[in-house]
Amino acid sequence: MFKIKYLIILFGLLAFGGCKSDPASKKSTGDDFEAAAIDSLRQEFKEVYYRFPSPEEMFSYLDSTGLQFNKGLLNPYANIDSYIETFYQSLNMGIYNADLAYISLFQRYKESLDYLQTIYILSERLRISEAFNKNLVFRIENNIRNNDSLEVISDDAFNGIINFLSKNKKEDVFALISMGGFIEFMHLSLSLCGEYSPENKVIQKIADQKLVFNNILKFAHQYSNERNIQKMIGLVEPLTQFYNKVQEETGKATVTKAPEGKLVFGAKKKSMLSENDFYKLKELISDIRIKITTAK
Amino acid sequence: MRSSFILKIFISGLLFFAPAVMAHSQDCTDYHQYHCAYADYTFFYSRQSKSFLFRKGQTAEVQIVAYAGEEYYLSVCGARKLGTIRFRIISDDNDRTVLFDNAENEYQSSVSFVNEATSNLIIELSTAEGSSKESKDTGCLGLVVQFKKVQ
Repeated sequence: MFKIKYLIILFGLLAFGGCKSDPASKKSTGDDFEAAAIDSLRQEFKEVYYRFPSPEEMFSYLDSTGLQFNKGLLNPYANIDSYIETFYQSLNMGIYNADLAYISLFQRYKESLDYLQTIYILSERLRISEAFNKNLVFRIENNIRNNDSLEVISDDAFNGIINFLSKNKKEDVFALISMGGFIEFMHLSLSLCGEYSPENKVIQKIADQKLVFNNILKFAHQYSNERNIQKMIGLVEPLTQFYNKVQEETGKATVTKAPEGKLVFGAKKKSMLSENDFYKLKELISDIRIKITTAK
Repeated sequence: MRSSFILKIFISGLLFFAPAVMAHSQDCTDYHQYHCAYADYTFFYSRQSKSFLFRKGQTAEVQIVAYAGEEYYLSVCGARKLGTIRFRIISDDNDRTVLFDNAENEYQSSVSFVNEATSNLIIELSTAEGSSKESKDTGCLGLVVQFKKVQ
């Protein structure tokens, strides 16, 4: 009899456990007014997904041809043992991933391997190493002198991590990794872009990254009930305030067709960095990065 | 005797509700990687690509960052039971200008465009309302984003 009671409770849980509360799924069988109200609710609660480019994509946009390799700018992999809390482990996994993207631009095998191994160790500590394909080490050993393959392998490894986090409802960890990656990308690009000048195209492209920051932050806010996310939002708050003040030139979005039939989307939209903004941004990024990499 | 009867009810109930529970736990994470069409090899895969569990009649928005001076290729795909997928590209500003609507282009499943100014773009995905709201009306839907530098 005791077992039967449990079976009934289990049955109830199963039956109602599948009923995920989702405002968009509410549907009325009533009159038109009710249907219209539900339609409006559906619009209001429309699911929104925020996406943002990876550090590799950000470097690709920057056009790395003029950039130099400077090992001193990287977060040394020996720092890994000072990251005890999951908060710092996740943020620094993002930092190391951006470092790996930077190293890959210069096809440096040894450093690539070192940083890939560091990311793997951090993933073990974060208990997400399952995300790595079991053949990863074998693939690395077999491509020991093939930089292109190593780049593909690191990209595959990171895609595996993202998929694993999404499958296991650990998007909050993904948000931390992404913010870490963004901060390191900004640190590297601001250190390598040279002196400020309004004509410096790299600086203009760095200014454009404000949109990436905003999307990562909006994505993170969806998990703001997590303590680590609240902590991260607090950590980057000075940067949020800075970006809110950055001047923007805006105009209406346009769509035209090029002679060969290609669609062209245009808009007079530009984030403008003044000389003061540029140095302020450098300072803010440096402060946040120091807090992350020193875990203090 | 009585316990065997309750056990039978439990098992029948389990079989009845199992599809609904399974539909909600369906994993769509990498659906786009294996089901959506890709552009030619000159384009690179963007991690802004995404898959989700979708329901007939649902609308969702994916906000992506599109860089200036890059050409983008977007492709959508979904489980057959979701029916035709409509997607629109909308500017992320107060005007919400519709830059592309595949409903005006025979519901083509992909589009490529050149982006002149770095901006946020909203990819609005929707499917037509189903005849019922049963779990069989849900399935995976994927969006692939690829890019290359404009020559």
